Amino acid sequence: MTLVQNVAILFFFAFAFVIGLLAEYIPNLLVRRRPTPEKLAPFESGEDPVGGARVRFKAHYYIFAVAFITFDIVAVLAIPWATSWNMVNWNPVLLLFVSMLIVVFYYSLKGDLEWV
Amino acid sequence: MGLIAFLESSLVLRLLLVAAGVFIVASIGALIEIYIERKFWARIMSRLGPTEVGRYGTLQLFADAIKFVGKEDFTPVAADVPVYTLVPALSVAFSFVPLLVIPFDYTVASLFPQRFSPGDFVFSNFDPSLLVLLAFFALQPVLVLLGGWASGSKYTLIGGFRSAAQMISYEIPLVLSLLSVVVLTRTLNLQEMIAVQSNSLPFVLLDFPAFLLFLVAILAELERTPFDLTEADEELVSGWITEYGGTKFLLLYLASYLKAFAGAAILATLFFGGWLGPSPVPPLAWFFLKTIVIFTLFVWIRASYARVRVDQMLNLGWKYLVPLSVLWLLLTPFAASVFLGHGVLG
Repeated sequence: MTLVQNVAILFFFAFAFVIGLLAEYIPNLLVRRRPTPEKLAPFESGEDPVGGARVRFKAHYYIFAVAFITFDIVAVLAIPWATSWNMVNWNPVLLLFVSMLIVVFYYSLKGDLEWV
Repeated sequence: MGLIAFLESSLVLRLLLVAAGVFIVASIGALIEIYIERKFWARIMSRLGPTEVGRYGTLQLFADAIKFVGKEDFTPVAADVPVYTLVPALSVAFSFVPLLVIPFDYTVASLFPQRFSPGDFVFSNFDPSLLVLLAFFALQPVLVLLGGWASGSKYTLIGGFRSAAQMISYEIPLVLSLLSVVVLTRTLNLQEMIAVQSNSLPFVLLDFPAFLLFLVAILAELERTPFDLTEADEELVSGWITEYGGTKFLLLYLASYLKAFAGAAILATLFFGGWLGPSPVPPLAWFFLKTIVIFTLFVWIRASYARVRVDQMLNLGWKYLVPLSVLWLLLTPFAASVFLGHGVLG
């Protein structure tokens, strides 16, 4: 039965994706492309564009990204615990969550979770 | 009867039928949502909203759709063409798949008499359906980042960056508040969660803190107004969709409302008992009605609150929602054992 569900998810994904691509192609049958330099320029509220938009990520995202990955792993580990909490030993999950809170508390006191 | 037997003979035919059915339900839902978004929001602001096309402006959406399809297809020179072209189609696909695991197909199948064995047409009844839903919800902001980067404009890029920040801040509270419901039901199957609620009070009463946390997190995840930093009209023109026009814009617009429909439906499933309701009204109607009412609540929130700034958004996510959801998740088992002891959870 699980195989059927997996096939179903892939099938639904492909179904929606193909319909989306077809819908994107429809205007090309109805309207001819008439490109002009102004039409294809990046939109900057009517000004001439200055510089490109291929810039680097702000380094400050890094601390949030690292925090996100660690917490996400904790959350994933909590899923099996949540489905069978009255049958398993709580201590490891408890420890993980408490350490998670301590980490958030430490970093927010240190000021690393401030947006600058 | 011959037609039913023919459809049941092939898995692909059944899948196609269910896909078409879910698509029809979700599209009707999305159309109603867009109408509510325009009309209800306008009435709150003492405007009239659409009035011209059709009675009370009901056909305005179709007029808009025809107009969008008739527009020229263009790709900005600065854009990364394959990614720019793929993002609208992928966005529709990623918004459509979560609707498969929400038990709409069960409610549609339950309209048909038992002797047709409608159970063969239900694909949402499998164990980790909540995980699949979360996975596809989590992929959405990646598309926003891709689309914002690929468009090659500064506004779209800022929208994409904000989406990345929002994604990594609100994913954890979303998962943890869902896990609080999982602790009460001890299953990841959405249909079984509704079955548990049929023997108890709806979880909005039993698990109220999780409901509040989930409501805030899902608003951020759907990029609806207090958290619509990625599309902030007043600052970023139209955020990450600035460079998308014509049919591509139409697809992204449709995808965002399909996604909102899925989000409202998951809220209805987990906290308001899904299709449960007094009997003469069919389950499909109950489920649909609850979803639409919850979406109306989203529109009401949009009309009432101002947008948060980026730093406020991150503060709320990391300093309030994450610790509160962890604390409540640790307290839920105690609440659950009290409920189990009194037989409230069935």
